[in-house]
Amino acid sequence: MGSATPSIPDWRAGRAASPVADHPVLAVERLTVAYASEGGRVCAVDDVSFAIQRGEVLGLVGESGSGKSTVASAVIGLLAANATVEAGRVLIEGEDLGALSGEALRKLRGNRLGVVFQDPLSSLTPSIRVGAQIAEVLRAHRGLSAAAAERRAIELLASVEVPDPPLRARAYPHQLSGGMQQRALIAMALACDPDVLILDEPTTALDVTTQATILDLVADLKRRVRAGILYITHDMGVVARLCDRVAVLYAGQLLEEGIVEDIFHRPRHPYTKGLLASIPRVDRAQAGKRLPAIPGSIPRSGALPAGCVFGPRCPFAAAGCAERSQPRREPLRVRCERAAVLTGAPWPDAVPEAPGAAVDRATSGAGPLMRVRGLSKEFQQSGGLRRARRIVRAVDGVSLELRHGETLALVGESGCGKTTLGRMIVRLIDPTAGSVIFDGADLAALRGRALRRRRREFQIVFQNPDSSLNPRRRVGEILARPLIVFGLEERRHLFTAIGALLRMVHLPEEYVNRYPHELSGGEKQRVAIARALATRPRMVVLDEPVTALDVSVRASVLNLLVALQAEIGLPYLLIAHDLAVVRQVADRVAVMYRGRLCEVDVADAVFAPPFHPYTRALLSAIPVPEPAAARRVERVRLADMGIPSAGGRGCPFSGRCPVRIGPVCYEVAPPVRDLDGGHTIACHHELTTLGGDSR
Amino acid sequence: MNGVRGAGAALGSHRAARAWALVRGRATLMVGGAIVVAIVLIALLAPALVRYPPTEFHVKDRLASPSAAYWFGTDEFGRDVYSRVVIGTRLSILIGFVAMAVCMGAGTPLGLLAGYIGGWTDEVMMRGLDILMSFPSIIFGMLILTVTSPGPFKTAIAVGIVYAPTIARIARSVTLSIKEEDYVAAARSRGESHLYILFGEILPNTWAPLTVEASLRVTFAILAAAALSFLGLGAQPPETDWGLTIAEARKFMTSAPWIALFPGAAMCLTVVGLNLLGDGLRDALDPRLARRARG
Repeated sequence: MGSATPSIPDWRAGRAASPVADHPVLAVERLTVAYASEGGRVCAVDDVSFAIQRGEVLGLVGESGSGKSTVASAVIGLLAANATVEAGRVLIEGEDLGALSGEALRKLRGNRLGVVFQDPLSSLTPSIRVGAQIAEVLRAHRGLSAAAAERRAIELLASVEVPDPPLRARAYPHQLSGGMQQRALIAMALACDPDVLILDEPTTALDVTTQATILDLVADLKRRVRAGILYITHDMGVVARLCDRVAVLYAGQLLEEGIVEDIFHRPRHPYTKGLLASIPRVDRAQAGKRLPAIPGSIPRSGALPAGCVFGPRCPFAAAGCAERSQPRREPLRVRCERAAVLTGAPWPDAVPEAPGAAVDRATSGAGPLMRVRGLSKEFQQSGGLRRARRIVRAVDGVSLELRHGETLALVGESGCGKTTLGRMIVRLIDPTAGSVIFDGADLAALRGRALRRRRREFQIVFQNPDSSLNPRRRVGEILARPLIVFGLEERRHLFTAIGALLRMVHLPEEYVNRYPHELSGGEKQRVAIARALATRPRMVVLDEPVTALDVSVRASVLNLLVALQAEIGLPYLLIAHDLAVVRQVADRVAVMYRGRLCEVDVADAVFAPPFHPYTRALLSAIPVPEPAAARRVERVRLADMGIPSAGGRGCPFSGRCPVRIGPVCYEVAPPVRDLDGGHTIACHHELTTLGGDSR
Repeated sequence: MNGVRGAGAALGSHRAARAWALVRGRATLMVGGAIVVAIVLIALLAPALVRYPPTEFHVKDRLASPSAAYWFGTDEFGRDVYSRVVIGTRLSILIGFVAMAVCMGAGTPLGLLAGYIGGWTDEVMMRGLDILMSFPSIIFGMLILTVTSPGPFKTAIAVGIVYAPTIARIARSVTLSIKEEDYVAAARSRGESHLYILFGEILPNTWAPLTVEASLRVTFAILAAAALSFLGLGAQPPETDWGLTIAEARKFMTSAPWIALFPGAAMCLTVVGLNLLGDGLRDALDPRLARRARG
């Protein structure tokens, strides 16, 4: 792969070809950064040190509030106006950035530092062609002529594997896909052959399959460029795939640092252990659907606990942990006094499910609770003055069954129509066609009062807890409303009922008087879950319930959902893009692509052949949080462009399918192959081709 | 601050603490608020603050310049300008606040409805408001006042109607974004009525931008009312407000400038105070700025 792409020539002929051995290319030494806020000084980065050598990828791992973005801003020299570097320094090849003037710093930023941020569209200027934006960097910092810079920009685009670079160079940012935009930004960051490349969550805004191709590119760059790469992320799978060394940040402190194998196989800090134990894995599910979880939530900046910052959430905490701040132990490079004692001690397992509580999902109930038949939604896109109105099929004839007490996961990438489908089922969106037979009645046909009366039976939990709770209402009011609307509780019992709801989602009863902004993300989501369950629904749609949450609180929210289901036998329709989460909690899985279902199967079997080609691509795209496995995986590469057979009746995946047969895929709707046990695959291929020989 | 919040204090003091946390350390908000509070107090206590009855003639001391006896001098009839400015405060401020209440009361529901219903209703309502906005505000106010008989209360209503479309536009744009929030979807999934969604879920979230706008609208209203009074369409003698006092002083602008100067200064101070308050509120309530400050 690497040999096929044009190499990046060395632009610094004058400089020594080999780096000075005793200088790391980037060194951060005892950096402390604080923000001035209304409540006084808030320390965002506390005594953080690390170093990166040439050709090395250091993963800076942290959740929200860990200070990872502040570290990046400090390295780039673009801290917010209310931030001060209180101590420490940042060195690039031994040169102290703090000692440089503004002008020298600006030169250095373009020349020797390359940065790629999370959201590609907001990092590119919308009104300038992509090629010209890259060329601008070269003209400003390298003094190239306009023509030479343009030529070089096209070479750079080719080097980041953008197909047809001359064409893309003439495109405006909005004309490129997200993955292509991110490639263009990487090309821009590499334009001056930097010493340090900072990638700040570059794939977080992208789909899994697109993320996979960007990760491949970065892995390839690591071999080709001479820069040291600082890779900032919250995704342990990405770390396992790419990084040589890992630094774990938590609440502004560097808790542990080490080579990637050590971090994953011999983590020493309790937080690292908890983080690794609590992330759901696509390659295996935890028994009883329970994940070992990290209790509590991330401390708010400005309200850090006394002593060890992780102390209140640490199951290994001893008497002294709350009293003194933990020093960084140098030989171990871990900020925990008890790390040596805890060597090899695993993170405690999840509390096993109480026996007998689980509903026998396979047999309970005769027939499904809900039957979705041919559900479709068409949106009209207004075409402006000249163009005709275009009809977009967001959901195209989907049929599904939801059985009693089960979790059916609806999986797909952004824009595949899964959220529209979920919202149609709970009638927040009116379907264009199709039916939702729920307990004998067609929900899709209900109107007015009849619909309003039945709304109690199906509720929804939204993805973004910030948006799903009214900021002007107290938790108590939020939870009281469904009880009042459906007349489920008399006024005088309301307070008790709300208390019970809060206890059910493991929140203290004092929260009734709090406003949403006084809660953490995980707590907000618990309130949202309590609100949905307050109506005692018979079915709940969970629309990406943990996606917006921090990694370390996801497990506990997932466990809560699983426990509630086991307790009351409530069926869930789980909408998700994260296959690892799905594997952990789902009983059956439906894979969706561009409005249509590709494959439906029992959860465990979806993760084994035979596969729909899209399922296979999705599975192979997920980086497994284990270094050896993440690097070994044979990836199914999908074309990034994939213009589908718009409006056509062919297979929706045909445009990107790596194994498509030919015109038949574009023109003819794929047959739905019904395997044993309710496993269906919609594909023109024979099952043997899809890896189904063993069945 | 967290201590105050977490102490389980009674509801009232909790609110007060939050309000204080909002104001503390914000110079514009504090200075603006202090000026506005002072002017409102002057208006309330005006009868106690005057030094002579505002309509009393002191024929000997006509057009007297400011002195210990007449702080702001006297006018052509020997009336004490200080007393007239103090008494004029009442009507000017009252007209300002009544006009603000009228434009909020008319504009907010219109904007909420247009934004919430959307489609053709929105289109028709907003184009209608555009027509109202296309008139110069003073002309429009004069139009309303000349078809009825002039008077201070009618001035307030006329000014309120003139500025209602602006409020409606703001309420509409806020509604447009809030109706897409998931808590509105959650309310719909409970089968809540449109009325509840509008006034229970959306309205409480519009108050921040609307409060800011309201405080700025008071200044516009005071200025517009003064202009209408100046034209003889507002306060009718023997009542007085700043606009009327200035109108009466026009003839003596060169010989006795103090007659116009002091009511003008009073108006200026009020406008500055309200603008500072409005800007301060915008800083304190604007979610983006507030979030940035919190880090």
